[in-house]
Amino acid sequence: MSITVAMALFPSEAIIYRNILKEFESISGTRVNLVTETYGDILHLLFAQSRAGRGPFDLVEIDIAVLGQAREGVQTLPQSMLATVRAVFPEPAWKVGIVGNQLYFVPHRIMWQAMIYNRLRVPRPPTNWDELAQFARAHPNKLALKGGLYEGIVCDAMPFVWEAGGDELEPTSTDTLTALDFLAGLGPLLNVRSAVFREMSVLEAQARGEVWIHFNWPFAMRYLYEKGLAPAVELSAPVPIGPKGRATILGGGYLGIPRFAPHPHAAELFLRFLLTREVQQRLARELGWLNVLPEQSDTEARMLYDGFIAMRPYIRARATVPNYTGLSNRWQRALEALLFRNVPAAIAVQPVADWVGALRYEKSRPVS
Amino acid sequence: MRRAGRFLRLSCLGLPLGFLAITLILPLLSGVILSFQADGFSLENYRFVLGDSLFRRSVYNTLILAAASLVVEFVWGLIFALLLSSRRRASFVTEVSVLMPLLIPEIVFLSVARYILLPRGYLNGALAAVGLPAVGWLDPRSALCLLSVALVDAWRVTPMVTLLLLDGLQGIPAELYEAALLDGAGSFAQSRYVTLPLLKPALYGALVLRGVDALRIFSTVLVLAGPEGAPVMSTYAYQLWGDAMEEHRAMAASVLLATMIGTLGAVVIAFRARTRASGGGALEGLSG
Repeated sequence: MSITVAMALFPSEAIIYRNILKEFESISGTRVNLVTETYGDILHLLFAQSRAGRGPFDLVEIDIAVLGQAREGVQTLPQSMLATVRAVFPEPAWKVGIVGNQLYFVPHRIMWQAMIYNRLRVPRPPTNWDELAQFARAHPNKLALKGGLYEGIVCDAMPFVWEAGGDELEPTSTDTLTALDFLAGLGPLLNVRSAVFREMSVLEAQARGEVWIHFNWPFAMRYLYEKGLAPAVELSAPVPIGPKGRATILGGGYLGIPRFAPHPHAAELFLRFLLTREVQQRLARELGWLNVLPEQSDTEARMLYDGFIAMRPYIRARATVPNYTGLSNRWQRALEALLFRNVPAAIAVQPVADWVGALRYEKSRPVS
Repeated sequence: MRRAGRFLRLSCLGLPLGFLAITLILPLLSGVILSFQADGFSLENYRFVLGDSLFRRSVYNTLILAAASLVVEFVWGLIFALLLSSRRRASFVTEVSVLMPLLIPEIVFLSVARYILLPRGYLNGALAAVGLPAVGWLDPRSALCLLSVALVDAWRVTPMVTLLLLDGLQGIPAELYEAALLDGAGSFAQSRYVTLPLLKPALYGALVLRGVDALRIFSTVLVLAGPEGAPVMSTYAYQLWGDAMEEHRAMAASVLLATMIGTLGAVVIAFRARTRASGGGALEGLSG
């Protein structure tokens, strides 16, 4: 028997991942066909299979941001799997996969953002909002946000909203506006190319020394390490703490068994294999995924991911709404107006408020 | 025998038409239908796109970039074509230098251009070496960013314009220059009364080809400035489709771009037909 699995792996990741699959194949006797695609294409594949009533995929990896949309295309998973998931992942991470007491998705790889800083230029990285603002004022153009019109701008801004006690579904609350006003103050001091930066372009700018501080995902440290820049020049640190605490955004890919999967039981078996402690530690060691923390003996990894490890207790998931894309798109436009066009916060978020007002979101939204 | 010939002719016509229908016409129709879908069949997607300030900026940038790029590439293209066709034959190095951008894969060419123009790129490095301050060649939404994109785009396609014009230049009989010389025409008069009038067909042909292409500008903007740095109509549609996952609105934006290009093409064809009917004129040589 063979199962077909669609995952959003980079080519370099897929090579390592295939070795892990071989172990499962030898244990179970089931062959795994690994199809690597982008998250967007996998979502389209899932919907195609769901609408056609048949299809080849037994397991799919879905971007955490669109789990609400993807839910209609997957089957529920057995409750017995929940105990395993809870033992491996932090609460906000496994809760995202549950809707209405039913488990739909299990985390495949979880990640969250931390602050990446140039330790030579910034010997003492900012630890709170005041220090971050001081840094931005003292070094204009050296702090960057991923401000392109895509999900990245939401990932950078939302932790500030949460740290002020705000919420993406309460865009006009006092706490949310406090955070947005703080971000608006940073706007003119940001690196001028923040308006176009995305994960890779801001990372390249950091590597070139054009930017000294930005927020990014764990893969950034691996990139800088491979360039010989980390830990010698670049390190990670926690996101600066806000007036009501600390927060970072949860990202990553989740696995679900599509409706009409040809071999759902074999797919479930594969899921259980992936969730074992041994495989999770292997994923951490060989791919740098932070599902489980690096082992104590791995001092280099712990040094590189220091900021990320420190942020693990503060991860928070985005709102699980049926049309998260719609919410995100409005936030992106609002943040772009706020940061780069000097539009006052209350005016910039009005379209978000209108959208949220009209939203009938699921009652079981996980609260972290 | 005659029936077999007729069958062959129909097959020759039918196969490409069928191929076109499957690969072009059906997706196009499907796209147009998609653009009208938003909670039913409506104009909502068009209303959103036309009311979006980013779209309006994209239209403006598209027109500015197309115009700027065309002016630069035609001036450079004509100069290079004249240089390459001159009797004192251009050196091999000159020919290679002029035509090189055509030989390099687009993504490589644009990535190199990006590394040249980045804030810590080679160009600012050169400026720093002579004590000059860095320039924000690609600063988002700046006029300089638009100019940089236009110049790089012109640099990328100038070899194509050069080749088109060179072909036109080489079609001008040498006897005409000799006759002009005998009549006492200098270099300027030769260019004015021999070269330019006879180059018109090639110039207009190249202008129509590149004009349509310039409105579709995409990769140059995407690689150099990103969809937000110098938004144009094609990157606007791409951003809606890829990042915002709003396929129907992206399709509406694409239909508007296609309509703009189609309208321009129709105007050119109509103008050409009119000038032909009135006994020649500006576009008389387009078909030649």
